[in-house]
Amino acid sequence: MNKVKLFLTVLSILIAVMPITVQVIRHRDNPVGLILPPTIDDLLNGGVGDLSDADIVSYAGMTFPLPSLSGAPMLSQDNTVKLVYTFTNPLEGTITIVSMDAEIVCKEHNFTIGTVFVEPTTFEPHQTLDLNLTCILTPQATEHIKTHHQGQDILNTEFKNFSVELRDIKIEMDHRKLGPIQIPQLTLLLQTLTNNITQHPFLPSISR
Amino acid sequence: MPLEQLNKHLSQINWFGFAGGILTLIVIIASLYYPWWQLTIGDAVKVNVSPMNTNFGLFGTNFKIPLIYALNIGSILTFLCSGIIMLIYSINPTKPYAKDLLDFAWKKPLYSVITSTLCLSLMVLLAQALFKMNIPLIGTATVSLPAQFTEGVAITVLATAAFQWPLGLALTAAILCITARIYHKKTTQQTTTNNNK
Repeated sequence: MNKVKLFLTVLSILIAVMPITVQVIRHRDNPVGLILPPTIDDLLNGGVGDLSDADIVSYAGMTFPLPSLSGAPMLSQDNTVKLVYTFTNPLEGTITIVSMDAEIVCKEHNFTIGTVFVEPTTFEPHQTLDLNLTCILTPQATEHIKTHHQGQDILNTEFKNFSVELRDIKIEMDHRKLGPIQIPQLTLLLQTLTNNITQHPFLPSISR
Repeated sequence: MPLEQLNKHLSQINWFGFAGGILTLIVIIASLYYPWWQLTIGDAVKVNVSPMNTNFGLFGTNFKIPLIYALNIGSILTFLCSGIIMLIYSINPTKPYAKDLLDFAWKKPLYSVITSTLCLSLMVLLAQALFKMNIPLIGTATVSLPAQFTEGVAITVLATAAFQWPLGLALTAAILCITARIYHKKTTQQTTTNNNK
């Protein structure tokens, strides 16, 4: 074998072997990390778990602050409650919520009190916006609250058959994946509605 | 005469090899910034695949798999050596070592194009066979993520995939390198015939 051919053969071997050897040495303490970096490991090992009482969700190396309720719920006479949540997009990419809907269930009695949906919203990276939730209560909801939750300030609710559609992505989950969602003043609101009082003194405004 | 010498030298240059070598080097730069194949899922997921730079984007955050990163570095070095050696060969195609240089350089872009396309097709087929994920190689498809990855949460995504222009550039470089190899055979046969005369 002549010198040029020998040199080129050695070069080929070095090019093929060297980068892999360097990475193997770098990951000698965690060989799995060579194929599965922490981000992918998180993805493969499943979702975010139970969101009960969580303010922040960590997933695949990213941290998502959960939306927080801002202001008081607004009630209209057609059995509709509007809730405004504030959410900050913590990511470098845009999040487009095309639609979101779920059944809202009284956690204590597993009784469906209404359905909830969100207006389409686009969150640019690191942008903070209001997320408008509309809850349409069933005709039986006021009766249920009157009977079982008289005088309570907070109604523990859960989302059931939760479905969210981001741009080109649709996520559907049952109620077990989401923790109880407390809706303060909802009981009060429903009692207000039941009593046919158009504006409750504690409420900042009522949409009609 | 220096001008005659220059003309003679220019006429000896394997221009296909020269163009192939230059294009091979351009392919490296292009592939670092633009993928050969891209898969996008809305704003959330972006998978960029090329032998020089394969990365995964999740909500704007990019990450790499260390093993694939090592293979990418290997590919960059292979293309770099292949391009430079092809250029050295094409300027001196009549030197005794020219054939060795050409044999080293001409195959690399071709092998890279074939290997990349095969690996991609294999990955898509494996995803279908193992996880029942209908990931498209070209075009758009609705993909349901396997339940074992999502703890029972049903996630359906609209995935769009397409080959990108750097693959065409690499294919052109490969074709030029193959042509340089064929042209080398012809020129050496011609030189042998002329020498015999």
